[in-house]
Amino acid sequence: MPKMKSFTLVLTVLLLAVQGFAQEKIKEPKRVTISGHIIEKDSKENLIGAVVFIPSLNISTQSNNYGFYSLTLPVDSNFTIIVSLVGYAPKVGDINTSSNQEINFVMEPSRVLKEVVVNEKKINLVKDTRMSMIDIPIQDIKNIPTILGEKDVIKSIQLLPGVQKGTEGSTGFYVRGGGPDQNLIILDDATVYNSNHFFGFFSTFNGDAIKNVQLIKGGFPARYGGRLSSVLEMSMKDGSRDSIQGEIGVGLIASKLVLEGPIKKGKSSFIIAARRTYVDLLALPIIKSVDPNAAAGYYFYDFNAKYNDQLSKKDRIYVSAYLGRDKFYANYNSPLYSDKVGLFWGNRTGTFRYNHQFNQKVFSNLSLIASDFVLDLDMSTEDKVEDYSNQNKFFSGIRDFSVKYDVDYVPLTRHQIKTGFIATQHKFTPLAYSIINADYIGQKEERTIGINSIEGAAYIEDDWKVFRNLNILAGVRYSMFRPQKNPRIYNNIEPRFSTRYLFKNNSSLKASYAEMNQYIHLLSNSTPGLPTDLWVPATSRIRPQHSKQWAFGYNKEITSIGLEMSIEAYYKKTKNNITYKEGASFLVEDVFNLDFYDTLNYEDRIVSGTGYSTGIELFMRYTQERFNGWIGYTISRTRQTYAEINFGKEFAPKYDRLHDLSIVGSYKISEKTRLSGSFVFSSGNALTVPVGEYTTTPDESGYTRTVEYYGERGNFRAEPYHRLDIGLQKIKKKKHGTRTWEYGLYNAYSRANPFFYAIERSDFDDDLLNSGFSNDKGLALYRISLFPVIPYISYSYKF
Amino acid sequence: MKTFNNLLHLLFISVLLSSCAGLFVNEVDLDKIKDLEKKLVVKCNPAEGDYYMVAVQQTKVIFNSTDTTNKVDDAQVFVINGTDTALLKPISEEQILKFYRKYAIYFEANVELPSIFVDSTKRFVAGNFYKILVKYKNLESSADLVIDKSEPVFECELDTLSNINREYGLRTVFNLSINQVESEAYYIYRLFNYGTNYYPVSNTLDTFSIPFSYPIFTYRISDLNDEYPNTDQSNSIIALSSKDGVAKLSFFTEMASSFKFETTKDDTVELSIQKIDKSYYDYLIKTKMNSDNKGNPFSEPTFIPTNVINGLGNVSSVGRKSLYQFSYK
Repeated sequence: MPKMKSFTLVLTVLLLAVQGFAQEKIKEPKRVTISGHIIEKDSKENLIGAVVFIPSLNISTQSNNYGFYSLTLPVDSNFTIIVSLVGYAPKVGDINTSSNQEINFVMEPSRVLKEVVVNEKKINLVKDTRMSMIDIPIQDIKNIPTILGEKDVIKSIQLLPGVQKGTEGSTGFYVRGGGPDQNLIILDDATVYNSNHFFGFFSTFNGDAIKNVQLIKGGFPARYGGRLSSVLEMSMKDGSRDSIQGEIGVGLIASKLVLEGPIKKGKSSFIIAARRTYVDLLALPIIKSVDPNAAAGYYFYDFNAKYNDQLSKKDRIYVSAYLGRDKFYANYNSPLYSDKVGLFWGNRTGTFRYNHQFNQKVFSNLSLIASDFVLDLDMSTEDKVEDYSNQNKFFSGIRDFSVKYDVDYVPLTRHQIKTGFIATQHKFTPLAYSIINADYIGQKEERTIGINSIEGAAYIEDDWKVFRNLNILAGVRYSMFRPQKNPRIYNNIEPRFSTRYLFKNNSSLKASYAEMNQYIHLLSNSTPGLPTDLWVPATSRIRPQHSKQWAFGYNKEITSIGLEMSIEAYYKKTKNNITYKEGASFLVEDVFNLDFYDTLNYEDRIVSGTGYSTGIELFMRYTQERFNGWIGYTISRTRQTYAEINFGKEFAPKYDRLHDLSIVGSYKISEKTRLSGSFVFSSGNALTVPVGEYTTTPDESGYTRTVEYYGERGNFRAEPYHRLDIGLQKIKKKKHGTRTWEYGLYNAYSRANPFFYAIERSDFDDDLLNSGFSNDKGLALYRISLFPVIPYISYSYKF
Repeated sequence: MKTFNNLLHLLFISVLLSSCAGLFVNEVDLDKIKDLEKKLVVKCNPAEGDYYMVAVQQTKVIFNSTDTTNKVDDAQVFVINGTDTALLKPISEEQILKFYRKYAIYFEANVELPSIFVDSTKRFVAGNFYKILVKYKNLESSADLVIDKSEPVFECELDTLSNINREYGLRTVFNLSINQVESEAYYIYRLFNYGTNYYPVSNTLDTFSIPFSYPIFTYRISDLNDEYPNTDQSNSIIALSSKDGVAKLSFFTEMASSFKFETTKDDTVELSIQKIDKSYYDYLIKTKMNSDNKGNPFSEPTFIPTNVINGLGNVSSVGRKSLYQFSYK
């Protein structure tokens, strides 16, 4: 803590000193402010992250999450102004700064990075003060072939450098050595706690309803906090304010519908998007044909809705909601008895936002946010002969209510300040249940284990142009956490710092430092995606996780060929990481081991440790009219140390991979045909397999036990993972819209990638034995693969 | 063109239906696995006055189908006390079986037991320092051993609450209090029943540790009833408190109704307590975890700690004390 305070003090003094120096050297002339919104041409949607650039002054700003920008410029001058955004044709215009002005820029989607008329640098990777941050245009996500043709935001994220995938087909992702619980996933300001459908094979986000996807891996601006490793921020589309539009899609496992349009043209609009799988409906007749009394199935659905209204020139409201559910059910209903089992889980989020523009320099947003994740297990039995019934319900989840207020303030040409606060009430429910037996009058048992806690944060940051070529984004975040009935309140100061030095040859050097704290933990077994994973708060025994990350990068852009690249090196140090103790497993064991005070004994089952991750990431993005794509490569090393695991020795966690390569491309063969593909290669992850066994001498209870000997943790590296996916889109304009057929192959050359490893035992599952094990070899280690080549086909119609 | 499109669709659907998204299995090359070498497993947990005895085996490489035995009958096992070195002799398989049956009814016939090396002329002396040295082929392991003074283990109070005849056996209810534990302590309770027609049976009530600052929780004795805590568990802590830095533990225990033998007249129940050190406690706990979680894909691997240099197992002394004996008439 003294070190942190010293750092903050030094930073503050440094900032003040340099500011004083800068103000002395560069006298600010009288100024005017240019502000407005960046708007997409067809839909009239506000565009996020567009860069507004004044070449002659070499200053720039970005549109915020509501498309608003503001620039303060010297008075009575003529400037060329350039607006650019990945996926859109740049806009170039001239302005005269005789007075304050409001200028809205309308941008047209385009795949071409046309060289701007003036010979100046573009923004994005090179000019942005922030680093370790990547925007993916939603159209690129739609072009990437995926399993069964279901377009997936998170699977696209997995193709970026610094991001490791989990197991085959899953949507878990690991950023710079951090666990999946260390990623903050935000949809319209609301935290999404479980981003998986279908046990992790699909993400909860319907790409058709998403406008913007941004991943931040390091150099975190002060406005973000609460997780150690990454921020994945997504914004739902606002809905076209111009005309009614829509899209229907039919895939192999799911169908979807998107409808958007104006309510009051130019002022208010809506969008609704829905998706549902139907494997259960197709399978039901087959199940019924086997046993007419039986029914079983699985499906998921999600629903997005958003409404926005321009109340006045300076006021606007947004109301957005998300609902996603997975449901597994198995019912048996005969004349004698009935059995029902239902398991469902999912997220709900709701956000109300109120934008207010105080003046051209000050923009604010107030958000009221609700978010929850629930897991519900219902089991009931009815004996129709004995007139007996039994109903068991188990529930767990987390529910948040938050108030968030953010202000963007552009006081001077060289300063863009963001400040705000957020307060969240978390209500954790690790377990609630009710048991009703109908054979005893009124016999009902109910119990709820709830833990409330308060998390708060306030921040301020300044994107400051110190000199012509030097920018600093410095900020500080104060965060606090108070667990329920816990005398200890955690308070932390988190300094954040990024700087960028721009060279004349369209290149820049960047450096950043960020400290993060995470106050809630995910109790999870090793497999991501299971809905039984539970969030629990930090306590006086389980301290908040903490990280410090340093990053350095070089960025270069060659506009003439549409190429931009970055290379970054990072080092991240973490402490108070948590993991299960050796031998501990599955949370169900925890929740049923309640002590007599109804508290959850998770603190006894987990251990805290330290860790580090270091690596170098290369990212090259190529954008031309016909072809666009990127290459991402990472070489990295992650190690963790826990006093009670691996005898206190350092070890590689499961998803440590030395090399990770992704190549993504999309080629427009003609106006009607587009070919796309992606290739991924990853070194094997670190696993621990038993290598020997022995039988213990009888212990004090007289038992002999056959136990396994492992050698060291991480003694086995899984085989490399590589896969090629290809897709072909056939697009045709029809009378009322555009239809697209898409064909594709997932795992085109049918690589048998490891899903998990198993040691054959005599009691091993018969189906597995029949599918390839040979009994005559004795014990052996087997690689179990999930997906061979999987073709897919989908149809969509956009109107 | 329409026909071509339809054919294309048909082709994809056909390929889709013919492709199987089930699991497919391939054997992994063993060269990719590290740490495949064998290890000696040495176990020696004597109390003061016990004869020199060391159990030794080697690990089996589980992926090698020709490696079928843990046996190391021709190992050289030494107990070194200063300049006095004793070479222990292996006992026969028949004797081993007899030895194990004395303590274990859960012993399974197809489980291969370790070799046992003894010197029945020498006994471990409290306070002495020993070195256990085992050599077998190219393997050599060693461990240091200090024999602890055994009694008194703890100050104990034992109260027999009831002896109840039940349909499936006899249940004995104890209330046991242990005082005077001044710092971290580890111990084991053993409950023997010496039946008339059966081998003696050992049932460990549990292995406990009392950390120095353990949280306090107390249950009222009046809450207990005949079925407490339940019919499946053999024991439960009922009170654990700390006063002036001295931990006090009381627990209520019963012999489980599911105990798999019948008691008859003249059977004897004996409750004893053993003080063990942390290394042995960790060994026992982790051994149980490792065994219980074998084959559980959701479980983290459990590494069994060892204090044997260049080997596995545990070498440490224990302190024994008999607390209770009761003969059913």
